[in-house]
Amino acid sequence: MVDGGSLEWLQPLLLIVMLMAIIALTLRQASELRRMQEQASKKTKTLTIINCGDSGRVERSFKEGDYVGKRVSECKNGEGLIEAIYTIEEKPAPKQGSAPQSQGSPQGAKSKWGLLKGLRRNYSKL
Amino acid sequence: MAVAAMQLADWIQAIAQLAFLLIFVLLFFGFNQRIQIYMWSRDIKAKLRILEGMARESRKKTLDFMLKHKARDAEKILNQVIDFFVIEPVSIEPTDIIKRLDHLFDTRRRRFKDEFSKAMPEVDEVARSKAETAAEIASALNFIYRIVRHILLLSEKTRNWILIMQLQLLMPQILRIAETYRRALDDFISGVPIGDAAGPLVAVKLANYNGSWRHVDDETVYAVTNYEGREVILVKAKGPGSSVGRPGYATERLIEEYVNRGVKPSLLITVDAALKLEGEDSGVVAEGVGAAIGDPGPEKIRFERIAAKYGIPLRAVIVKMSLEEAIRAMTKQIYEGVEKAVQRVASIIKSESKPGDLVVVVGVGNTIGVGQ
Repeated sequence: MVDGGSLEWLQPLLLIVMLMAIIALTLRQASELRRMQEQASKKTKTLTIINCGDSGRVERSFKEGDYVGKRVSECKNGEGLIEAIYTIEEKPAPKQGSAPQSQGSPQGAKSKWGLLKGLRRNYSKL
Repeated sequence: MAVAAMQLADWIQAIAQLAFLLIFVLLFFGFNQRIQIYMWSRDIKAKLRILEGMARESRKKTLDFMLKHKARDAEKILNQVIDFFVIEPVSIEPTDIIKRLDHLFDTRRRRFKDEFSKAMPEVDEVARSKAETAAEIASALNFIYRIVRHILLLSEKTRNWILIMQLQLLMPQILRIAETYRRALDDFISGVPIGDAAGPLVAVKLANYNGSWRHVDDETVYAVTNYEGREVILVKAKGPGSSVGRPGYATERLIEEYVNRGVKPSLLITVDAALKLEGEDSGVVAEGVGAAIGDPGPEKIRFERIAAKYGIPLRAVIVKMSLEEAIRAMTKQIYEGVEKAVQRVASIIKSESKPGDLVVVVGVGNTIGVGQ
């Protein structure tokens, strides 16, 4: 067994090392969670681009039934043609005191495990 | 009092030493591995529940879509489709394997089409093709779930910790693929062009959105246009439903027809979406030689055979994207890639053919959301 007199300094050192390891692990988990939340909160918007000939292009949100090559009458001078449909990433709304809610967990996941549980809860409802 | 405290300290020391000794002995019998296996199994089980939820959710969405479009016996048909399988042809005797594979795929395609035509006779082809694809996605998610469950149960039964370890390490990747399929289902149901529609979109753009498209077969169309004095035949799957058509078959048939009329194409270009490597940018266009098509063989070999038969240079143009981008709604970055691909195809036509030549351009890929 350890002689209490000569190795007394070892105990606080071990304690400090353990504390530092716990802090490092917690920080790592927090950054992983942040990355997962950022990934989940990426929202996209689908746009339909209509070519109106001489009067330029009209851009609006995608509606079911739209397809590239479809003729639509949404131009000022009559008929236009859907030239493209694509998605763009929506910029996140400015934070107003509260953290953005994750898609997987409705209550906003507090930990990585919470996020996993949130996903599970959502799917078990089905 | 002091004596009692010292005695207690001695007891604590003795118990601690015994515990250390016990743990040390257990380590020799694989105690650490058992703990690790238990932790891995728990992690896999938690993720398996998510996979199960995804499989159930996709089934429910597909069923809802079918019922919304007045499908008859929707549940029965969906159950049949989800468990449908294709047995690979014998490969130790490779003679006519492509023909046999083609026959099996054709049978599968017809079976699906017939089932959905019978179940949804009142809706148009577009909605029917969406239901077919939704059912295929539900089937894929169900398959992923069943395979993961099978490996987990088998490895637990046989105490195969290497299998559990491999599965646990693969789980993040499997979940990512499953999540991509789950999200793709919504895009297919709403009819948005997906990244894989890059090829058909290039064909439509080369026709300047107004070519006179004719059928080659029930799922593939072609148009003839003129580009700087060259006659250009454009081939794509029939849109805007979810279909990849039979581009190889259509190209082979069209080239044979033209050759019989005494006109041999001087260039054959295939355009398709291709999976990028990690670290590469999405929407980057690259060109090469060969047939740009991701089919298991029957369609690809038709391009190669017809090009080799008549000595037609076979060129490939690809738009790079990730798996997620390929099967989900087309992003702006991919769309910009499509525009670049159109320019690249035009420059290949100009540099590798002469005015008066016949050129064939094939837009390969799923044409959902891209009409003609």
